[in-house]
Amino acid sequence: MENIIEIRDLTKSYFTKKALDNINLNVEKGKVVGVLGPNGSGKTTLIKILTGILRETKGEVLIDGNSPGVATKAIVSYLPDRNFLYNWMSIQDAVDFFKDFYGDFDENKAYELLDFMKLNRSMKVNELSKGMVEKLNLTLVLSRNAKIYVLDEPIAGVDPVARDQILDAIIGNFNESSTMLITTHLVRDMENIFDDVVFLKEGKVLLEGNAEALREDRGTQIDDLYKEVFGE
Amino acid sequence: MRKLIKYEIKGSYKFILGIIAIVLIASTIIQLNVLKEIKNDIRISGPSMSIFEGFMFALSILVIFGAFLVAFFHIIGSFRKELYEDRGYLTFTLPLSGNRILGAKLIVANIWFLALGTSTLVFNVILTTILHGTKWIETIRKIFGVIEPNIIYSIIISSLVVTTISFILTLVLVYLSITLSRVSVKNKRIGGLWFIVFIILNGILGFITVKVSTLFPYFLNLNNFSIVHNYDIYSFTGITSGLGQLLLYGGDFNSYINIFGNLFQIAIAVLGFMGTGYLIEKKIDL
Repeated sequence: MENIIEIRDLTKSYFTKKALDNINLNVEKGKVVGVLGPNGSGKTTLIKILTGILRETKGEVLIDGNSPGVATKAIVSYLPDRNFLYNWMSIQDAVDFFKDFYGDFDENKAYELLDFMKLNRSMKVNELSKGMVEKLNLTLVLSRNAKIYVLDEPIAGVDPVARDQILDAIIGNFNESSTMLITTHLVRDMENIFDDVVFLKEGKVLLEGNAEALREDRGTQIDDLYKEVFGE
Repeated sequence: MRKLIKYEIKGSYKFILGIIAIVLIASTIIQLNVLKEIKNDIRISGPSMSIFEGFMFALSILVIFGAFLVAFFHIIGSFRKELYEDRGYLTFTLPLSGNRILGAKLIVANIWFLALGTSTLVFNVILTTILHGTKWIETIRKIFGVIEPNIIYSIIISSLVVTTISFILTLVLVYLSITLSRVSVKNKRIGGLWFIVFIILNGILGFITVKVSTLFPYFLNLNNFSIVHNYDIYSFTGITSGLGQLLLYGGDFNSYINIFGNLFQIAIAVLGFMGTGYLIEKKIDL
């Protein structure tokens, strides 16, 4: 199958510390890939390089054949691990903003998802709780018919009800022709949606492969495998 | 870029309207106090400005100055926030080049300063007319009556051209300084570093501008589009200095734009803009 993301010998250093250390990784089109690892393993660094807001120290990243830049930003729908919307915005402003800047944004889908998430369009971004912000951001990101979705810790720090809503939204809105990269350390909640998994530790790929194949080979769930790998 | 401009304006218009309201209130207090003083002078009797009124007068001047300063730092702060706060994750993942993002910021900054300057000027002109009648128009006519209208226009246009170039260059240098300080000290927010970078950059470029202007002292007269050497201006206007200046007001009331000095400033503004655009697109690590 065709690779939509190709990562070659990728290294990111901060002075003497290596956040990513010579990573090689291919992501096939149409797959949901879980990038798993504890805090500080390099997940967010990898995501930031893919979304073009962090530069690699060494190596090469190709997204649909292009280095991260203006062209790739048009096809990558990115959910950061923070509230990235402008504070002055209402939810309606945020929808209009995405509609204005992304040609692949589906306004009707956004309104459907807002209803599903029980978010009122007139609410102000700076008045929302953490869970609501996460749901709003995810609504906007999933309402794009993007080639690639990159979700950084989509369920971290939200209550169990919001967590279920978010997971349902991800599963219900994933398009088979798209590719999705999800970072998380909450493996148990998310492992069923992954086609492939990548284990990152101290900036290195420790283990990667098809989730189902790994379960069969190791005779254990990905969550247990995660604990085994990182629990030392 | 047009769309980003729209959202930049939407995000900051309330603040700017607040600043304009403060400036207009302060202007009104000043004008009313001036009117009272004038009336006192005419009557040569009655108490002059009370201590409270004097305090309000001085305070109003300070408020206007402060409001402009706050507006300036707010506007350049909106660029700084993109580089240091979470909102940068939205702005810098938009499918827009660094030049477009910077261009939108620069255009909106100019729109706001123009709005602030124009509203203050127009409000004060209207208020002066309401409080003092149209006498002031006559006075200005008398002052400028001795000068040819063409020359007046050339003075206004020359001043506007040189001020606009200098203003845009200053903004570009501020944005470049903020970006340089962000790129050079990665992931650390050092308060005021950009200002030090700006002072150094501004000092160096100011020095080079004077050198260029001195080395090529050719001036453009916008009244008749003639190009004259500094010595010519000296010889027929009696100006004794002018070397290194970007704009000269001659003794013959003509104004002269230093061609090479201003071209140098434009070139630096363009280079600074492209450099900042490149840095925010290719070098910023969020």
